[in-house]
Amino acid sequence: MAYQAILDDQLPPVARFVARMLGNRHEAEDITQEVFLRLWTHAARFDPTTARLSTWLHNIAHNLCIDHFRKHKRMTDQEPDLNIPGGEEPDAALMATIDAATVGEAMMRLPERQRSAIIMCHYQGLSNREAAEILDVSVDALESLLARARRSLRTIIGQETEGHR
Amino acid sequence: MDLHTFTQLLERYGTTESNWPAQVRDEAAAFVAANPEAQSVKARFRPLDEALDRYEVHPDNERLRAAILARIDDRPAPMRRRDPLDVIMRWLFPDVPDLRVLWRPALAASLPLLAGIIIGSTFTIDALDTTDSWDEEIQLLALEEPESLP
Repeated sequence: MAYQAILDDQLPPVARFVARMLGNRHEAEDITQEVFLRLWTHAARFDPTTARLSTWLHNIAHNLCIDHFRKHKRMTDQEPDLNIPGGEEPDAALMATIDAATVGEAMMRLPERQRSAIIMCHYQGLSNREAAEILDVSVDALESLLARARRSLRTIIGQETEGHR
Repeated sequence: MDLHTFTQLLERYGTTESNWPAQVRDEAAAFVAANPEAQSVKARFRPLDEALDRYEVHPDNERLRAAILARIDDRPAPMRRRDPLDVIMRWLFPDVPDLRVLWRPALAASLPLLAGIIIGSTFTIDALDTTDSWDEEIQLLALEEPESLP
């Protein structure tokens, strides 16, 4: 069955995207299931001449995540409060001690659009054009989101490493 | 590419070359390979990417797959708009060859013959009835000018 073949191919990356976006296993599973139910019920809307299937599914996943944040009033466009003493680059040796959970917490402190941008471009292998299309912004605006996200993450993780000193 | 442009690239896309935009990837890779200062900048940005790479997630894909398939079993298959010609062709020539449906293409091939027989037996075509037309032709010849006759 074609649907099962698509599921085998596309479920793992979409599930990882949603898991990183939400940071909550139970909520991520619900949203991931909803993405593939939309694929079942809205397949006729997919136009292979305008987008890859993976991009289309990431678009659905991104929109469902944003809807989820709005519904639970967790949406924020504000930059995190990042007053770090000295504002220096985190020490590379200390940064190497930061674990996955700390990175995940840092990721969750980012505004949703910045988080989505960095997840799509760093982890999901989407091109800058595809990510910009999903976020409905220009490539320049996407690059601005990416630069701000990386700066914020560096600072947040830097705060963590300061705490470990 | 210069150091400023390369640094901007790292600020936006990090140090993993496969994440760099395809349009500049080769140029940037060549630049950093030949430029020690660029290598130093790249090394400065590298710890963040290493930290990001440690953030792995492991969704239970098997359980998710089973749950999704169970949920779509409760829903009707989506209606798709299909080209009527495509529907006819799929009916005539199924994806899975089956001798039991050979009558379908045979029926389709015999349709023009059947149509011809039905039309022929139903309608009388006046143009084929030459009795009157020969009479009219002889009368017309009789009205011709005498000079034009042999």
